[in-house]
Amino acid sequence: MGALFSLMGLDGWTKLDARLCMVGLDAAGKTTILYKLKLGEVVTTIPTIGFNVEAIEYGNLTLTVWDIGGQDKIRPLWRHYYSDTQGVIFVVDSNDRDRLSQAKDELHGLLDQFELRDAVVLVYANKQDLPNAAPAAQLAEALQLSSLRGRKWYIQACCATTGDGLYEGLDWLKENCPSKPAS
Amino acid sequence: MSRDAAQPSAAPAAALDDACCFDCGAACAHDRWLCATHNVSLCISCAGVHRALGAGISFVRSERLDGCETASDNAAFAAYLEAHGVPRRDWLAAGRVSRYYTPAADLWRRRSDATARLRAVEPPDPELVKRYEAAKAPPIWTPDKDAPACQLCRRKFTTYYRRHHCRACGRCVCCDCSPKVCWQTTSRRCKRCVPPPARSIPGLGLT
Repeated sequence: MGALFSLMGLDGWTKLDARLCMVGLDAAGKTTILYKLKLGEVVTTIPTIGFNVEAIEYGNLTLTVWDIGGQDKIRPLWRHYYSDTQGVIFVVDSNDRDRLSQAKDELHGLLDQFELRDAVVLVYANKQDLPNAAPAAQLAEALQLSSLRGRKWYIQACCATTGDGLYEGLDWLKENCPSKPAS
Repeated sequence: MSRDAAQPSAAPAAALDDACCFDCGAACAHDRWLCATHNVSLCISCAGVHRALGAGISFVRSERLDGCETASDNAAFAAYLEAHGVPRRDWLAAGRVSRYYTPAADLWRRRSDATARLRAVEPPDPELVKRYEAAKAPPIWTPDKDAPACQLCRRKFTTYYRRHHCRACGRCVCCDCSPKVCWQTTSRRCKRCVPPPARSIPGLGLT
């Protein structure tokens, strides 16, 4: 059916669903990104204890995004959200260079999980507006993204407070995320 | 509500206790967050404000949910601010965001950074100095024709009862409202900008 639709140029008509997990170290900007995408405005956030979940409509794609708190001791809980997840959004604070190696360990640790073997990875290099923010290329190197074999990944520089770069990341997800027709 | 709005403090004296939030004075012993940069304890909503400042300004940790090795010492940071010309009252009156951009707070950060990296204290960030100078922009001067009377005591100006301008707020005031003790040393200030000196209470040794 999908092939027929794409032949007829009706791609945009089929409703698609995808379930995504948004993780990252604490204070990376996950909740701010989620509500910037959902509401289009910057909300004043408090540290997330537990999770936030929102359905984000983007074109014909409905993304169910789970934003999970990133404090040290609640990171082991991330794995409970991995089942039936088509993609991971990993948010990095580009300005926090001291914790990049910690972010790398978390990212590689979560990609070793069996349930995420087919998941695509979108890395948001957040807080690009701050002075002294690391550019996306440098972050890709620090996170050793090139060592991810057989996995689709993409790094997108963004700024959650202005919204720059967020939709470019979603565009990539739309092309590459293994979404399924809405039920 | 603006994020920078100053929070009325419930009990400024109690806020120096480590069981209270340093920024708003709320009791936070049950769920304490720490600003590891300034070594102060915070409530969860002030922790949210701190995280928005960026990790370079304030590195926020949770006592329960993070492995944090530093302990907070609200009294030490308050004493430091007091010694650098920012009394507790002024700190609470400043916006919740802008107070962390004051030169005193900036110096604290540069010093602790230098100690951590075993280096000399770096000069202030020119961007920050510019922001602070912009905040201290000159006041809007009330034109003489807009002030037929003193803007504080409402007494009418005449040929002999002259107008003066406060250099801090720009108000057009009379000589009684800009007393000599204020302008002889520096520039002329009105009563509103220079509050009368605090009364000393005999027997307590306090001013």
